[in-house]
Amino acid sequence: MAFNKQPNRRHAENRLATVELALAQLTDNFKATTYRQNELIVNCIKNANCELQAAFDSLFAENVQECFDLAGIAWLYTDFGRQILEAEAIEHILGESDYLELSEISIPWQGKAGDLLYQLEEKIVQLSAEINRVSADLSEQ
Amino acid sequence: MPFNLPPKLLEWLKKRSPEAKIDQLVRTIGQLDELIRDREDALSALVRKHIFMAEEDCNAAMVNSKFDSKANNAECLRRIEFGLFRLELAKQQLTNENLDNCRPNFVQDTPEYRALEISGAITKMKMAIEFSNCVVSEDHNLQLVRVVKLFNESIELLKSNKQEQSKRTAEVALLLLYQVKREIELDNYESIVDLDYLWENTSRRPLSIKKGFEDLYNLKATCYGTPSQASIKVINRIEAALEKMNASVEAYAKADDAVVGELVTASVFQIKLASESFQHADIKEENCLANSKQENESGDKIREFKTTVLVLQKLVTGRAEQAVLANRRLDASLKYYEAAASKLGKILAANDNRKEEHNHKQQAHLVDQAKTLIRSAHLDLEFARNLLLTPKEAPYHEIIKRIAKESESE
Repeated sequence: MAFNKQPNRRHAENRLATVELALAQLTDNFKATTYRQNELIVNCIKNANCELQAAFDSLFAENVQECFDLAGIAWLYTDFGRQILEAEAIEHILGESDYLELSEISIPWQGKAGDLLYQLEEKIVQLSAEINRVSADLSEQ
Repeated sequence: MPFNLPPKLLEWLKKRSPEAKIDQLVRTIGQLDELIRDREDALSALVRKHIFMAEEDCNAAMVNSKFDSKANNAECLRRIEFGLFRLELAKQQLTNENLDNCRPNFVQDTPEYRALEISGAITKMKMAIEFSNCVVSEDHNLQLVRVVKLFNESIELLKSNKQEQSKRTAEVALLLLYQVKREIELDNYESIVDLDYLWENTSRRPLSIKKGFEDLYNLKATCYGTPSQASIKVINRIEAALEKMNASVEAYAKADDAVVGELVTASVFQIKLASESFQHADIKEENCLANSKQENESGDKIREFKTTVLVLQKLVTGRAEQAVLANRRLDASLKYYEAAASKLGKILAANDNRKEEHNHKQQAHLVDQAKTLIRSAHLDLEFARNLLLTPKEAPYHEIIKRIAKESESE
């Protein structure tokens, strides 16, 4: 159902029912997942729930267009979460369970910053060693 | 003789009374409860949630029905009707009637459609990387995380009714996704995923940026294939073009379209020059090559260091309390490192050219300078570390002492 015109209450209700059902299925499938709890999916579910709640509130306030749009936004989050869950399920079954992390939350900045600082220090130490080597060669000449 | 209403109309009017409607609500709750008894799945959990919410509506309606005012009556009816609506929705979900036909299907060219395309592209990319076991560097991973953030941002903008901005943010996400895809492909020497279909409905401006990236990475891939032909001049031009392309994406994100045009044109010109230099690479002069090799190596070192600094700065900005100060120290460290590496490159190039006899003194001087510079780079890096990771930073003089001690022991 592609919408160019203004949706009526029936359209909004149908969209709410569909998105809510899809979100419930995603939540259930995600809870059943034992091999990995991806933060990105957690966020998708959280955001979709928020938007759906707002969509219900809009409908209660008789704001059909807003309800319709918010349910659409909830769908975007739900669909993204579903895709990621399915992709990781396939990687789990067929691959090596080596997942590409797309969520920022799971990268604690202190640890990562420590690693990067260490890498920089290593580069400095290497360059310093090279300079010292050249210096020693020059002294020998 | 009193006026008698028709019986059907009387029945209907009775149903419109709040009490009758509350009865209807309670009855429907009971029916639905019956339908999901002994069921423990996603759908029954959803229906239970609706029942719970309908019960809340029912309670609110009953409270309102106790007050005999117009406003309370209206609120009472509204609550009941919404409760009934929730239960109808739950019934519809239980029977799953026609719900597949109602899947949101957004019109092409809308921001929602673009957002769906991005989420699809992100997933496709993730799957391709996981399947082919590609190596993804930290900075490329961070860029992918940024693409996901932009996807979320474009949805947030949709919510605030900023359709144009949302679409623009989505286009920026696509451009960055394309760029990181090409980078990962270069690193892994293989093509991983086809995302060309995403550009079919793109407007002129982002398409010109994408085309610029495409030409640039095509040339970069050719250079990777024949590194001996890729002189420092070619590499520098590619780097300069890449900087301009990155700036053009940022300008596009800020809706600075005039600047986008200028940057893309300048970048395309750089790519053209780099391509011509690459095709007519002169590899006759041995000394030139030796110099170029040394300078290339020091250029690589500087680039690697710079990339790591940039990734670190991006990571800590907005997160670490002292990020601004730490970033300044990192900038200083980078400058010192650059200077030290280029001095070392010069010394090595001169050594290779066997010119040492006439400038031994000069070289010794350069070495001393390089030593001072690299020590300064170390010092500033250590200071940045203290600002970022130590709760209470060590005083500057203590760091200087420590580093001096360390260099003595080296």
